[in-house]
Amino acid sequence: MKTEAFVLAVTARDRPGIIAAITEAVFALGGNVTELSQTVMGGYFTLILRADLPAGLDPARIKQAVEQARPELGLAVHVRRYRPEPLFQPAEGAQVHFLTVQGPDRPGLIAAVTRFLAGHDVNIEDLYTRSEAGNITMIFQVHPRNAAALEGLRTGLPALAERLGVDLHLLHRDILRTTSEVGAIRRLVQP
Amino acid sequence: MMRIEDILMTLRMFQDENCDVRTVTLGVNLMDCADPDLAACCGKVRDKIHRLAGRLVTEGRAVSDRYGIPIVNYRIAVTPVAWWAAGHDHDGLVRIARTLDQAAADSGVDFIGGFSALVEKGETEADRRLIAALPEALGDTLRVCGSVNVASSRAGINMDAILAVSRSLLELARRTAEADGFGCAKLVVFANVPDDNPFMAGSLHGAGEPECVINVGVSGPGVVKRAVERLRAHTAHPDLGEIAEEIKHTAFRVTRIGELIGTALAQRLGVPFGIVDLSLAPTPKIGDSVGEILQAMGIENIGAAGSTAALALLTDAVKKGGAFASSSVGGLSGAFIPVSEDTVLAQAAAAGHLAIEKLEAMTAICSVGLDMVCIPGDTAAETLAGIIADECAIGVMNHKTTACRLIPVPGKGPGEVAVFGGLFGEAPVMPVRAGGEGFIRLGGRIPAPIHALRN
Repeated sequence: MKTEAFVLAVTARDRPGIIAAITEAVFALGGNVTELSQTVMGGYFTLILRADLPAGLDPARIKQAVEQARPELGLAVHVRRYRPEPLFQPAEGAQVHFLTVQGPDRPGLIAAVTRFLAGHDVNIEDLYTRSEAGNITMIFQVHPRNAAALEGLRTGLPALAERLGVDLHLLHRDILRTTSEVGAIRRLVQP
Repeated sequence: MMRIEDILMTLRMFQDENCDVRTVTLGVNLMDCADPDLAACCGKVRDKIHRLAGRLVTEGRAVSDRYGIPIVNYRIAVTPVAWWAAGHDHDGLVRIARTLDQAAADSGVDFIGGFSALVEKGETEADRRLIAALPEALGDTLRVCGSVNVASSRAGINMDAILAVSRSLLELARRTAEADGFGCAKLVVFANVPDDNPFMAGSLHGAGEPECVINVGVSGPGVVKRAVERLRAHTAHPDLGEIAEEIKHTAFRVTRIGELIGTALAQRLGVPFGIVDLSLAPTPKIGDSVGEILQAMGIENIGAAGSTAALALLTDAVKKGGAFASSSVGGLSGAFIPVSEDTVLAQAAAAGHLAIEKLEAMTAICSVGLDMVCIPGDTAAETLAGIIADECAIGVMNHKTTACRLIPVPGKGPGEVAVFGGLFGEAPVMPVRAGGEGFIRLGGRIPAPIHALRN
């Protein structure tokens, strides 16, 4: 059977059985899940998965099949055809970093930091934010497109920190890997 | 994404806790620079150091920038001078010291170690000349550091050498009297000297080492102190086992950073990576003190009862964390307690809580010895030799490195303060106990202990 890949994004109020319902529906359509990432935040479930499904399936039909598999779960599904070619291709040797943001929370902070990153051709690969007692912590896993983007990011951070009134720090991913993982350094990183 | 708490903990190490790579030391073998012609010998030394160390600082800065980790000091350690400069007279040895000094300056490093001799079982003529040349060689140069290994667990304690070094030490102090005898801060007297210690002033490139090697010394007293403080703040009644566990985990992180930086730099320079020395090396800066760690563990006055046990816990936990972090742990690896370089220790000495005898006890279980300890300038050579011999006895009998970096401060007595400045700090002159000089004058060699017969 000829197949093609689709990407499904699903949100719902969290409860047991959601992933079972989604994957059963994909299986029932003749599909196979090839990649899946899921998290829960504030009681809300979100999932993104890639699956090989019979070629030619209408995305609207997939959406309907998954949403209607267990209507009581209230799943909101978005489906699109998977296109493998990346829109962001960092240069070889462009180093992944972690950017931390800590300071008083206020509206527009995430927008300001992410606009700054976009303006320096830096892609966000992962993001975590937590706001407690009026203070926000943001941790971005970022990938600059090339050495020039990294340099722009580095040199621009002090002014951004001053403008936003927050502490900003850039950490090389290898530093975090070596301090957080137990494998031999020569296997963990490529110095 | 990695665990958020791991990321924030690593961030704090650099942001608030003074974590850095304290020293990157390039070991260079100079055996092939031996030459009976002094000018030729010095020329070879200059050329070889330039060839191997010329890019050390530039490449080190590139690695530091890449990872955002400060590298505080760059140093060079060379093969003990007495090994390859045999045959040269006093003036020749001093000229070699000046050549090393200039080569260090040209390479952009602040210290070069290895004006050294290993005499635990006896001295050669070259060793005797080197020991005699120490005052001029170290006193008249800025960057040259020296050391003499006077004892080992295999050979015993060379009391004649200790007395000779003590006389040179006093002369070195007199020669640098205007700086409170600072020249002595560049001289270490060892028992069981390590071949790969990257920390000055006792660094040398020992036997069995490769042609050229990168050794790294990490630090991090501030990181360990904050870890202990956080544990005590956030855990109900943590016991000493829990504190040891916390220190162990912290030492793991610190050591890993050292190995990463060392490996990366060695690769750039095209030389082998040797060891990471995970010693907790304090600076006079508040928040960067081994004494503060002991205080965080409940020893309010350093030197009080319990200080030795607390330091033993600390040193052992650091070694355990480091040993799991890296298979390349070497050098001294433990905790340094240099009095003038650690503000809390200096304060404890000034307040009378910390005496030389208590420091001596603490050195039996930490990584070094009587370090940056100021003593009266009029201390007799025999008394000085007795202090060194006591420290050597601890190292020899316990199969560990011990060392003395004693500074007889010219013109100053107990209670007065010697000021060295910068990372060397300041400390009160501590009283010493005379009365054992007759034992020292007997001379000879204290035989190796019975447990030296291991084969």
